[in-house]
Amino acid sequence: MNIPILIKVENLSFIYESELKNAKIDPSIFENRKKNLNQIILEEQKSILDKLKVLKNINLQIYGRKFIAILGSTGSGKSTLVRTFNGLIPHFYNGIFYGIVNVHEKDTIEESVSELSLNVGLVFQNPENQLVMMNVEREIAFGLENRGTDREIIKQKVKDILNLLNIEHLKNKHPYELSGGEQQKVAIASILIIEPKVIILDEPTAGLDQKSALKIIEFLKKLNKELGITVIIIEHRLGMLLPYCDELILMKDGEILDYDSVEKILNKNLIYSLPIELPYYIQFLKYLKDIGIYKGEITSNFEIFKRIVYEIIPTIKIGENKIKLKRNNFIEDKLKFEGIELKNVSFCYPNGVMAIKNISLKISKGECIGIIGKNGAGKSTLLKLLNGLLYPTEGTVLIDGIPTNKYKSSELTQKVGLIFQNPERQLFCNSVEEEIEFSLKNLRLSPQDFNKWKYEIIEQLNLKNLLKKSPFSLSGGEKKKVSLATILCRKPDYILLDEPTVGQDKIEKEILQNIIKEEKERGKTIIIVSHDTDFIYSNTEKVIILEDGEILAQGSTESVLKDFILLDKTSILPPQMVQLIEIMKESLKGKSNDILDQLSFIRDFNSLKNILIQ
Amino acid sequence: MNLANIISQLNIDNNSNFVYKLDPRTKFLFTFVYTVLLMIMKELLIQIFILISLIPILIAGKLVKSILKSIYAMSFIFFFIILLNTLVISFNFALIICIRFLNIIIVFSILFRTTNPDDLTQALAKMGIPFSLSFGISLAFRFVPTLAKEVEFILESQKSRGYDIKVKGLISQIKNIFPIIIPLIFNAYQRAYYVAESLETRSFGVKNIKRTYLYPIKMKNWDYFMVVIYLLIFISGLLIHFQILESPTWLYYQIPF
Repeated sequence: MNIPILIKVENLSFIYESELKNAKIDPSIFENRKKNLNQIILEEQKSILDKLKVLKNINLQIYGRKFIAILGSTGSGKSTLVRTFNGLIPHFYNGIFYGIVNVHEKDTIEESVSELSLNVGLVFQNPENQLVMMNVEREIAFGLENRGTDREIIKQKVKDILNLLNIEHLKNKHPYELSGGEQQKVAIASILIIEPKVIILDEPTAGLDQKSALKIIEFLKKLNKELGITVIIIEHRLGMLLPYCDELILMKDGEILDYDSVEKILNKNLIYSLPIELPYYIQFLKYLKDIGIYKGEITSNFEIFKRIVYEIIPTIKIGENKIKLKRNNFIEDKLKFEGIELKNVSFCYPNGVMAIKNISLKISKGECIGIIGKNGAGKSTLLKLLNGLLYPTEGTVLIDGIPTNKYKSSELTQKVGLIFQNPERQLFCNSVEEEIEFSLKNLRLSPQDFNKWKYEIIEQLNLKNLLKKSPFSLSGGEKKKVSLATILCRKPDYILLDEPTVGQDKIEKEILQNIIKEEKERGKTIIIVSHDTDFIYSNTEKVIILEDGEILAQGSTESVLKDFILLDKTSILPPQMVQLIEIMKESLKGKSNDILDQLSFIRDFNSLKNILIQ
Repeated sequence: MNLANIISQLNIDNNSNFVYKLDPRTKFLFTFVYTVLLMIMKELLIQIFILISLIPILIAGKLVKSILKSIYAMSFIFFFIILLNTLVISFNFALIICIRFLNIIIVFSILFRTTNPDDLTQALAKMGIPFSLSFGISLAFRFVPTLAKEVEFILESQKSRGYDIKVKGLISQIKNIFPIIIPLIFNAYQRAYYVAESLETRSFGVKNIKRTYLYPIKMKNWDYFMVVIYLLIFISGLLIHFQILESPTWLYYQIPF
């Protein structure tokens, strides 16, 4: 069957107008000359413009009916690229646009966004910003209403879409009443009703728990297979996504490094040198291949991978380099308990929602704890109870033996530092330095201490180059770092992190991991709330699973996250590392217990590598 | 007012009763007629009559409870209106101002609490205001709870780095707003871009196409009946005001202090 070219990009370059203004280049000289830009650029300006380019000379041909993922670190131009496909660039975002983008044989410069949207549907990261009507049904109908479609046809189509996505029960709800996953489904539905040939999703699952995220991705695959809609997706959570993809586009610094089928890309070396967080099973296979144990192709198919492990692992020696076993010994029942203690704590919001139901819990000083659970399980509420943003409606929360309501709120927030998910909700000063000073100002330190604490945090987080910059001009990862600094500079004894890894790429995650490690070594107590079970698995010693405001399970990280039966009942998927180890263990059935025992204590990928070195 | 309250008020149930089912345009006329009358009428008894005439609509719309609640919340303001005006002018005048204020609150509550903002937009569009403009209204309603939530989030983030709401001194109080207002404006500004992107990709504001509606508003018999009644009220109100129609002197009764 002859599949036509759906999207064709030739020599595409783009610079945002705002960037031009920052560089003090007058954008008006480019007006009305969108197409032959090269002729009018002076030589000296060329080099400046080259630096400003968000997209650099991109060539791309996408054929229909594919499931494509665009991979790259943050700031590599992924979001900009997909916005050229439906004409938002250059029609909505101004700037210098050079090159040709053809979608379904239409030039995006000549057609309007609404005309292009008939072929290309775009779903954005935050679903809440895409829902503009007062109820779900009208929301879905909105696109067709704007195009003047007949009422009866709209009615029928809305009904079909509601059926297709299984969301009839949401029909009359206000978008605000929906959960994150439901909101994203409605956003997808409101795009699907236009019946586009391509649906593009810009990090659609950021902020969703794993099972909701998996459901969205599975649904997209279904659309792709059954309706033949091309899916282009930008996503950081590759572990989940990769098995569903047909093709990958690799991007770095505004250039496309490679575009090929998944299997081919995985068997080239390029992807492994990029800051992309590949699933552990692929990294594992690559490693086996690199050390010469495995000689076949690297595959994204998990079932094939399992077969390979069953064949190969029993034939190699394991565990000659003994890794140090670290058993965690919890010190309990001290005479005077230091740490956080919750006694029969309940919390009920003014609207009657019971977010926390009769929780009793002890966290001793120096522990590192992960809290997991699906969206709305009460995790964030629990954190807020610990640093006094909320007070329990029943029971008491004791910090170092004193109830939270006996503290002055300024004292408590210093003792218990809570770092929120979204740094943009707290940055407001002219420079990063002022941000840090604002956080320290309220502590009433002596001037010497003030400066000492300030420079300590700058040193610790390596913020020197950012100090004079405006916090609003920073990249997402840098903003996160500054928001960490604004809390850590106050030297809290307890550090609470709410979803620290959302939207962070591999490098940014590693920085975060190092900061956590450092703080742990200083004897700080750390509590991490996250959907990213792999992050929890490699960084914490104890895990608590919350479900509907109650503690479903708690224990050492290993015992909880390896309990497949328990996890199956929740919306939590076991960490990839655990899955990998389980497969290895199974392949080694009947071997000595010593090896199996050793495998059980592996937490991160490097120790797994060590154990395989012969 | 907390969030749950705001949302419950925004969730306007279409199929509940007579007042809700009226066409938004009828309610516009109602609001217009009453606002004009309330503004021009300076007589105590007439203001009281208007208040009495509103009560059946409140009962039909099941709004009595929520109106009483908001009056209770604003009792402080009412108290000051009466106090100041009595001291400066007279108790009679104070009472008129007070009832007028109450009437205006009731009239606008009836309009906004019984009409789905999407229908309001539609009505405005059908009255000749471009859809892209009138859509702003329903968009504003839609984002009220979102922004309220945003303020809550910002407050929490700042509190956890030592921000204190209560400070003394006017200048420090003004300064103290910045940590909340700047992130709020910045986020709202960014959000506006995202919303615009999303509207753009769903063919919002396409020229040369007549927009259709999934649930078009329609004037029904009841609406025409009510329109006639409101017009009658309006005309007779004007006649009384300009003294074309002879009205009994007791209508102009004033409290003597």
